[in-house]
Amino acid sequence: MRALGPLLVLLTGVVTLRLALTGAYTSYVRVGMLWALVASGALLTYLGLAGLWRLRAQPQDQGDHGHAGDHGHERAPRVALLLLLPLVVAYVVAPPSLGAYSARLSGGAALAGERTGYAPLPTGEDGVADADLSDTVRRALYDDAATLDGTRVRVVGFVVPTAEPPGGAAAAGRPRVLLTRFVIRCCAADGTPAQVDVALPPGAAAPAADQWLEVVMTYAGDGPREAAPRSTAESARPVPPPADPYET
Amino acid sequence: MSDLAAAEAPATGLRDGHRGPVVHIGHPDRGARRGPDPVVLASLAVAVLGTTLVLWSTGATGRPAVQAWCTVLLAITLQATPFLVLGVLVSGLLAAFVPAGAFAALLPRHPALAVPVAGLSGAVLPGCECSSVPVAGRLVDRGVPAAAALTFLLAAPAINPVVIVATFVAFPGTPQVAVARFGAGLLAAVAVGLVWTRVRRPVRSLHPAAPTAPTGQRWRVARETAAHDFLHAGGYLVLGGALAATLQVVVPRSALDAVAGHPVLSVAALAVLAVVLSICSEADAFVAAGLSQFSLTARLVFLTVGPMVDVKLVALQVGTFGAAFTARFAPLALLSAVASALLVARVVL
Repeated sequence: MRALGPLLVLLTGVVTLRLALTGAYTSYVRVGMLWALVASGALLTYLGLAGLWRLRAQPQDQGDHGHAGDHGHERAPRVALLLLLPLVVAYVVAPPSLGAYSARLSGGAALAGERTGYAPLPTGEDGVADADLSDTVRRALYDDAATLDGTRVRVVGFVVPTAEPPGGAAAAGRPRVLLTRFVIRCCAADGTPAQVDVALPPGAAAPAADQWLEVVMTYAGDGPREAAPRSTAESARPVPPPADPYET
Repeated sequence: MSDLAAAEAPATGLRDGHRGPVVHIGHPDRGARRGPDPVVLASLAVAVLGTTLVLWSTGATGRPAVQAWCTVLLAITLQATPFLVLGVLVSGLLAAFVPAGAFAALLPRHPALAVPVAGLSGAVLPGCECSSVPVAGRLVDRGVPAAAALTFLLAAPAINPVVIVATFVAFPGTPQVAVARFGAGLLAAVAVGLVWTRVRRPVRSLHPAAPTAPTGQRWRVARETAAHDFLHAGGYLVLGGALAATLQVVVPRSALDAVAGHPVLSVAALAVLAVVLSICSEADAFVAAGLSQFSLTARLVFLTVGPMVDVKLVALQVGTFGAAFTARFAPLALLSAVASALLVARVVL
């Protein structure tokens, strides 16, 4: 099985290229990694092909004579078989981006933010500002100038059902969810959730966990700083998962 | 050594040209034989862990825990792949174009000088820890004294310009964090190197020794060394990624928040977090910036430990240098990193 090594290198290269070029990679790493993934995938593909080509050209040379032990170049180390694990996972499981399960694991770790330096949110023709969920959370928690107060913002995130039962004086009849978006610095392994506690429009059915929503909402004003800021939604509609599920 | 013979049997265990302290001793076969056993054990461990996860969630792939595990595994392996490829490329080029012994001749002969020089030269490899492991393994193979190669291994991912600039950017209000990171990283790496010159434990790279390549074959040697190093390190990278994913799913990060205010426990907690998260040293500053409930000292510990000891990196080290070596080296590096970070934090932060 001298072909095993080059085949594993080739497979890893092809799958890396495929994840990069189909855009599936955005569920796992930052969008900016595209060219690094394409370059390394292409290089591995080349190395694998070159190795296979050489075996074809010299089928029975120097394979088992000489001093080539099990650490020789000619045989793949057994641990290399583990490279198949992520390849199989990518195709069989094709795991989605981090969702409600991981958000609950992360607990209520608050995003860090500056107290100043927030430009006013530009509003569109309908009087609504498109904003990142993480930016919205930072403005709500930290902004001394309170640029978020009273502004209608449109955000996109997925649903994490709230732990506490629905109700409360202000939110009577409004189902509440934690609208969530993961912030990643490097890859999904370091994701930190940005969460807004949203009271959905009255009478709306409570959406399922991991459902992506586009919500137009207004910040409800000062809440406790350690919790997700509370907002009231005027509209909420289900949307497909965005091409880049993360914010940075 | 005959170049022709070398080309005919590229994987012989013959090495020569060592000038530094003893790099490997005893029976050449012992180290080679020691390799596979931990590999099999570790592979078994991952197989068992993986199967347990799947069985535990009978719905298999649809279960959120399994999916979260898979997402983190793919995230770590995909993120590391370009850096690992950079590392094995450098390793392959070193094997093909740098004669054995050339680096050893460049380094100062006295270990007390060679180690700091090796530490500072870590600043020139613009990668993270996934690049530095195969390169350091190749440096040992090229005859660099073990203590110097290990210092390089620890210093490169901690103090290279990309990492330091990233730290500057991540802590805009407190530039001294980047300065402290550079100081603590270099100090920790040099301390480990100096300790290693004293203990003189043999170190051998499990990678096959590549003899000096004959002129016409250099690119072929570079390609094959790179491919082989990738297979080796890549397998261990997956192993480390799988362990890190398991730890992330089993030990929620929120468990750490409870100790954020405690001066001693917070340092311990962030050291553990650095080991468990296994994130790339080029990105860990941004993660540290987000851990605002912790003191700057605790976060400096996080930034110093992460590039030197983490689950993924330890697996890579086992693959490159062997389990017996790593069992001594990783705890020493951890101790040195924590102590250096605390010391530097006292002075700088």
